[in-house]
Amino acid sequence: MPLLSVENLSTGYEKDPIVSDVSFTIPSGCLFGILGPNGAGKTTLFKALSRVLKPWEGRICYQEKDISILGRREFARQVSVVPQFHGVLPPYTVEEFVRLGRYPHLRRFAALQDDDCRIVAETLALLDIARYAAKKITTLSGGEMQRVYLAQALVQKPRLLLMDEPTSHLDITHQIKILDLVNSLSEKQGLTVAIILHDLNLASAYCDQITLMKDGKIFAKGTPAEVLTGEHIEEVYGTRVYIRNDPVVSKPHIFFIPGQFS
Amino acid sequence: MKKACVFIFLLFFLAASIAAGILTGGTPIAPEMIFDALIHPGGQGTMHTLLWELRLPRILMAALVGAALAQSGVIFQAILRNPLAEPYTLGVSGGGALGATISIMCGISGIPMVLFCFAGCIISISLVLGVASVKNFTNSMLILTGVIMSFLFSSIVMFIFAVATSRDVYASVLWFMGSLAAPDSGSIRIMLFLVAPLMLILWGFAKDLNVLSLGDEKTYHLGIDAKKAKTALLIAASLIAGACVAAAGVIGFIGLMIPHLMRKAVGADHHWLLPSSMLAGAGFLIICDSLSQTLIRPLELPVGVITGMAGGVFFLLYLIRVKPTEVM
Amino acid sequence: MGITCLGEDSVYRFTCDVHYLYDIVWERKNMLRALLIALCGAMLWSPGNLAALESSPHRIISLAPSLTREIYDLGAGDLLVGVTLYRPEAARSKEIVGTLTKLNFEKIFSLKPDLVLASKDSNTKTDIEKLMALGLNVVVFEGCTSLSCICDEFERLGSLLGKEHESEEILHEVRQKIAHIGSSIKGRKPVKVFWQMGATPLVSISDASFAGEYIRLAGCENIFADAPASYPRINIEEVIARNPDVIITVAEMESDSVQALWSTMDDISAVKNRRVYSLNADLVCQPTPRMFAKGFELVVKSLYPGVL
Repeated sequence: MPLLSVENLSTGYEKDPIVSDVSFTIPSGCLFGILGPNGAGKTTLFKALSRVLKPWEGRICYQEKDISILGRREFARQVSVVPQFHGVLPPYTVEEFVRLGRYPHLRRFAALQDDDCRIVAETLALLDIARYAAKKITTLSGGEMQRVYLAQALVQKPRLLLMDEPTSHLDITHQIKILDLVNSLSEKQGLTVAIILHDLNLASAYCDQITLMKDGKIFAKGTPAEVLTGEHIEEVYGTRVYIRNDPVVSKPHIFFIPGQFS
Repeated sequence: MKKACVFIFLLFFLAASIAAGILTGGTPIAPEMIFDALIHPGGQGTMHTLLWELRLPRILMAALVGAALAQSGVIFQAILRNPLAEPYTLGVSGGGALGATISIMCGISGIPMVLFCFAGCIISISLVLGVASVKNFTNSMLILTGVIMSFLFSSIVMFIFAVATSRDVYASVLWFMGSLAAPDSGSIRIMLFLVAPLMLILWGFAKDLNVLSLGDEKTYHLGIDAKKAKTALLIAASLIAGACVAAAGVIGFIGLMIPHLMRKAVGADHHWLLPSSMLAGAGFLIICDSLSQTLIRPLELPVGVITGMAGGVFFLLYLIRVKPTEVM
Repeated sequence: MGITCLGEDSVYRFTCDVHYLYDIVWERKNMLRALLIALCGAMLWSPGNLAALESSPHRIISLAPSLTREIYDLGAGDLLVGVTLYRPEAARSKEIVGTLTKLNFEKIFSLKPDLVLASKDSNTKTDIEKLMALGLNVVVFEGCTSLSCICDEFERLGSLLGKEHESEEILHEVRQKIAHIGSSIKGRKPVKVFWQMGATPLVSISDASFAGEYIRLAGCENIFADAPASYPRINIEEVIARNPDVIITVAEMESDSVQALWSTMDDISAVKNRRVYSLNADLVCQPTPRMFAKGFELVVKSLYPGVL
């Protein structure tokens, strides 16, 4: 049984749909990549998956149940999100901020229990940010903040994690670190991850399955080898590339051709 | 650990300000006489009436109004995610002013006037929320509607001023300046039995406030109904502010400044921010009220002047020293 | 708006003229009030309990400058223990219990007065009720716009203080003076008067005001007698259109700008004939019988120069 299945989804913000007739499934334990050029509707799709936007047509099923019938806290216990834009944040400390991720597991007037605190401490250690626990999040760098957001999403103990461009503001080391971490969680703990990426090579290296979007529709889906071909990339992104097989990870590697637009 | 220290300090601060309020007032009294009247609550005499019917009710009002305005400010700043948000953002002061002006024109005073003002506040809150609901309560819509409603009510008040008797205009202006002096029983009852319980209940909504202050989208991620929580909290915070306006006129600055200072002292977690703001607000207003009575004794300044000036200067200094990223 | 942006004395000057024919206003308000009483059970306004005083009072607090002045007129100044900030020279040594904008309740209470005098003009209903709630004996005097009202309230004050003889004397003297002035100008042609209260904005008076009484008693015509508000803000074009014979201005603070303003308007007969007078607000603005007589004299001297 796939963890998440999307059937003929159309949704948007105002009159015109941004995402039309999108269907795919995410198997449990999979690291699922969503790729596409700017404006292809990836973030909109994510918002629909996290219930920020309501589907206009079609439906989204989590474990075969339509997600719209799930209670808010119940849904938050299953699915957590690492968003892209962070905006102005109040001066929480890292620990206070990560603790907010436990709220879906707490009742209204209940306080955090020992169990909750333990989970928070473990997650901070896992992401190597335990030493920042008392630091204010407004003083952190982009990379540190990204890990804090991931920590908050992970303490929710979800089964499905949605990550919207988690690597865009990171240097290469941190990009690899985050993806390695997410990958190991996926393999060892069976966490299902849907991740929006811009870097095609990272997507190719880490994702088990990829969906390529164009203009709000699904252009191609399947394994990296099936999706990331020269023709697909040229048609979707409008740029010519070379594809070679990466001998280390046995996945396609994309080589760009500089100078083609000059 | 640090938070607990701050909290204990605030308790001492409140106790000290209450003591200061008891010992100082519009007329100098020897401390022994005050102490004597204090420990004999059933006694008679001028000192006794002065303490129990003038000073203590005034201190009680100052504490409740200060705490309420501070807490209301915290809630507004969390929900609207704007460092300039404060209790009167949704036009509450305009509605109360209109209610007060109309009651003065009709010769109403006392408890009915308090109710009238409160009704004015409720009307303005309802209008603002009603209009903002069209756009799904987005923060910008709320703030904009609140500002517009404030202007609208002020204009109506000005219109009434233009055609009313100068005596009524004069009385209305005095009311606007705010006063905690000799509070009538109606005002005290509203604050004690409506506002105080509401403040305690709102403390239990610290979680919602924590999440709401991260933005509307995060509420979906963390399982909170943004629309319901926002509406309920804004209504509660505005009611509290409205009750303060009805009971004591428009006292500014507390709802803006105290949340900022407390956020710096105990952090942004509302489990700590709410109670510490209440304590700080109570103590601050008691002290400002004492100052308003003693600075140019036997004359008295409107308490809003003191909160504005003292608060303003203090806050300016704080802003100069704080880093830009830490303002909110 | 000018009320609170000026100093205490100007506030007094502005508000002291707020004397209504309370009867007229009472009718309107009474109907409205009756309705609201039915709706929310408003407390009734009670002007204080005269009968509660067994003997003459000997510790008096006056919350209105006009009442303070009247007390001194009656020779009862030594009974005063507290006054408001704006007070006559004779009361300089008395304790101050507040201003018109803010009363110091603690001070009032600690002075242990057996009588507190308030005026509907100068004190708000809320303040008076708070004082009553403290158990103080508060007697409230009407805000007057007519001479008869001023005299009646003065007589009432006299009997309250046990100074009936003195009040009778003063009233007799005042009435005689006014009658004398009245007879001196009897039969004269009525003059059209524009009474200016403020320069920016331009404020005049209607008949339902204190100064209107002066003009009425002098048999003259206030060009804005019919204005809907008692202190109407008017358009200067209206003044030109109604062409007063005399302009009396009480806007002392702005006397230069006032003179400058009128000197440009020579189509107005008052300006043409150089009959623009500036009167001291202190002298024409006090609602006590003696000051009314003095003020009346001044006004008549401006309206009919050379007669007195």
